Parts: sequence; C-alpha cells; structure tokens
Amino acid sequence: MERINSKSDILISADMLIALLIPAVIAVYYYGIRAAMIIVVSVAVCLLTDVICYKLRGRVRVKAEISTVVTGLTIALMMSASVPFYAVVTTDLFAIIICKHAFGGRGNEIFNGAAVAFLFSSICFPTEMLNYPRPAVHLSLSSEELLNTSLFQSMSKSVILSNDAASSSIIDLLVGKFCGPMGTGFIILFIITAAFLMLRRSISAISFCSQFAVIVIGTLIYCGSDIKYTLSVLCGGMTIFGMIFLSCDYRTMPKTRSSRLILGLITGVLTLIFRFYAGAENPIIYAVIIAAPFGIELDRKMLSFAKIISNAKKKRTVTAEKTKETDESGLNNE
Amino acid sequence: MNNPKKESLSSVIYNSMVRNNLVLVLGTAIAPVIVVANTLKNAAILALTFSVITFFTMLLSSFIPQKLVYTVRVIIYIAIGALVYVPTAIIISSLFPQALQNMGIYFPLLITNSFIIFHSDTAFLTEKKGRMMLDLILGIIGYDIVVLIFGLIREIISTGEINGNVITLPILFKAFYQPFGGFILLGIFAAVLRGILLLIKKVSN
Repeated sequence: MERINSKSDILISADMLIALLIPAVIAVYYYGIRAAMIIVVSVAVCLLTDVICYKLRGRVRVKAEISTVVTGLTIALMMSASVPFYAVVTTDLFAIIICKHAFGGRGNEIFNGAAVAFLFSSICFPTEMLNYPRPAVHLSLSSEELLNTSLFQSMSKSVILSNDAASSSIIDLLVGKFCGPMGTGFIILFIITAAFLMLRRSISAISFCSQFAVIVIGTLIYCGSDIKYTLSVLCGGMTIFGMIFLSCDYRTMPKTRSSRLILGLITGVLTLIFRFYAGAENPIIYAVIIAAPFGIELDRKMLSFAKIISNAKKKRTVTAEKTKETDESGLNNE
Repeated sequence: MNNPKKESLSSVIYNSMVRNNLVLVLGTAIAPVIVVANTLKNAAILALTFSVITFFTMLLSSFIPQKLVYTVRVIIYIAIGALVYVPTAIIISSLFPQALQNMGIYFPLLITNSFIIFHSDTAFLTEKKGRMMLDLILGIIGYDIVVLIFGLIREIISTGEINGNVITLPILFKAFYQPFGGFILLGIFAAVLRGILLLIKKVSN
C-alpha cells in the first residue's frame, strides 16, 4: 500500500495523533478517570505488542513510529466508557498482531486494524462493547461499582429501532452528549478536525468529501429531508469519526485521485446500505472493511488505465511527428 | 514421496503427519474444518467422515491404471468418491442424525477435496501399494488429530464447554465460533506449526 501523498508516515501519524487528542480530552471530561484509564491501557498495550511483535519477527522498529499510538487511541475512543479492560486489551492485541504484523507490518496492512479489531471484539463481547453509560456520568475504576451503573443502547441503535430522529436536542447531538462510544460523537469538533487534516494533506479530501456528500444526500432522500434525522445519522454510529480516522486512513488509501473518489463513493453507499437496509449500529465499520479491497484493486486498474492512455498519447505524438517529417522531406524533394 | 528403504518409520510418521500435514501445511479441505469443526463433537464427525471417504476413495482409485489421461482419471476418482459417499452418508446419518444437517453442503463436498483430486496423483498413487497405504493412513490420522484439537480448542474458547460440559472461563471469544473466527484460528494453528517446523529445522541444522 502506498501513502496518499508525499508526506512521511510519521508526519501524517503526528497530525492524526493531534486530531485524536482533543476528543480524548473531551471523553475524559465526560466520563472521568475510567475513560482516561481506557485510553492509557489501549495505547500502552498497542505499543508493547508492537515492540514484542517486531522483536519476534526479527525486525527493527522505527522509534518514531507513532501509527501504533494512533491505532491505540482510535480503538480507545471507539469503546464504551464502561467496557471491561480485557475487551480493550483483546481489541488492541487483535489490531496489532492479526491486522498489522500478520500482514507484514507497517505499510502492508490491507484493512484498517482498529476497524477490524473493533468488529471482532464486538462479536466476542457484544454486551460489554455495545452498551453505554449516560454521558457526564463519571465512572469509577472499580468493577463492583460499575455493576451498579445503568447501561443503555446507543443513540444510533435507538434511532434504527424507532426509525425516528434521536430524542436528544440538536445541541446535544452536536456536542456528542448522547449514549454512544466515548469519543466519537462530537460532530462540530470532527468537522473542524477533518478540515485541519485535509488542509495538512493528512487525509484524502476527495475521499472524505465524496463519502460525506453520499451519506448526507442519501440520508436526506431516505428520511424525506428531516434535518434532525440526518444529524442523528451523522453523529451516531461513529459515522464522521469513522470517515476521518478509519476510512481515510492513509495506510489503506489508494494512490490515484480517481481511485480515492470512487473508494469514497463506494464507502458512502455501503454505509447507507448497512445503515438503512441491514440496521447495523456502526455501519461505517462494515463499509470501511468491505471497501478496503476495492481500494487496492481500483489503484491497480486506474494505474494500468492511466498507463494505456499515456502510451496511446505517446504513440499519437510519435506518429504525428513522423507524418510531419515525411511531409517536410517530401516538400524538400519537390 | 521419498524412497521407503532410506526412511525410518519415525521419519515417515513425522513427514506424513506433521511436515506434510493435510490441513495445516497442504491446506486440504479447510473449508469444512472452518465451517463445521466448531465443537469437539462436530470435529469428530467431520474427522470420521473425511477418514472414511478419503481412505476408501484413494484405495479404490489406486486400481485405476496410470496410463489413463489425467482428466479422465480425476473424473473417475470423483465418481468413486461419490460411490463411497452414499454408504458413508447412510452410516453417519444413522449414527448421528443431526450431523448431515449440521455439515450441510460441506459433507458431500468432501468427495471433491483437493487431497483426492491433486495430491493423490502427485504423491500417493505413484507409490507402491503398501507404502501408499501407510502414507494415506498417517496423513488421515494427522488430519484427524488437527481437526479434533481445533474443534476442542474452538469449543472451549468460544462457548466455554467441552462436548457440552460447562467449564468456567473468565473470558469467552464468541467470534471464534463463527466461520471467520475459524479462519483466524486455523491461521494461527498453521503459523504455530510452521514456526515449530522451522525451529526444528534450525536446531537439526
């Protein structure tokens, strides 16, 4: 896989890390010490596993490789604030061992590790992973106290079940104050983050904008221009978060612009299908995983297509030059 | 296959059961293993079915003259497999009434497994009868052992049971019960075996 532009992996990862730190702070503000602990554990496990895997594979790990920290932080923010630590550790181990190192390590990933690992853990531990505490309820680290905390289904799930807009106010939706993963609902922040990352060329603007357009237009058509319903779809189910940090991930992003555009459209359409026809709680996760192989194939097709066109252009130029030369020599003879 | 005179029995066993393990090294009939072998019982039924079908099909196929064109031979192998399948299906369904239903399409598909179609012609049917039988039996035992261990571990980690008996585990990985989890687990098994084989090779060198 190639990265999406000439920037180095480390710079892109640093941008992503900065972008992820702000929702991490907000998650800690909303859920307290437990959210902070989940973030610390997730990042630490990812880093430790990465170091061990590099040692076992006999490869040298670049010290400045911070993509692992980005993966750890992404996974942590996708979790419920009440999730048990073993679920976090399992997700991290899966992301680093199976999704990264089993495929050959940095730069060879086929899928986004955080997305696949989250899906794996949500199948393994559905109750723990997909039930959420109310926002602004500070959770303690003790598991006994946690048993007394009431857990609810996510806002996204409630919208799917009722087929109506979320009961939360628009302001609450915009600031992520609803039941759901602890760091994926702050839509205003994520829009600003996306703009920052696009300006810094750390995510593909074409891919992000095409996905965004497809999801917004598709939802508006589906719900008959209900703005609040559309907002519920964008805020819930990690949609915007997934678009920035999972779908536009430079590690699995195609090289050519046309491929990125097509990939964005495919991901957007798949998200809508999973959301409205399959009733998936986090449709962007499925869409990202299914669309990833398309990205690889699209790149190949587009590059070979571009090669064919450039060859045809070269041939045409050579033929034109030859004709011109023949004409000129003919005129000279005359 | 190597010359039997030069090989000791232990190396024949090692080569047939471990180094050329049908599932983990040659990747034979992995689809039924992934889909069907999610509990010890299902794994045992799969192992039994695979053993019976493969053994008798290969045994009968060894009488097919090698002068025949490969394409024709393969068709005959499959026809023999289909013939062996009928009594096997009757016996298995009478012993385990739910088994056929659980295995679905993967049960009849066992007659077209790559072991019968490809490996038979390249490795087994070119050998002498006695050596072929030994290799075949050891190969099948190697397959059965892996399938049984795979089914047992999968049942334990995904459901917390051993053949229906509950054992208390702190964490259960339900995803391994699904075919995609089976794929991952089989991949881990294959990686571990290859790692061990590499280590043995290194040590012996």
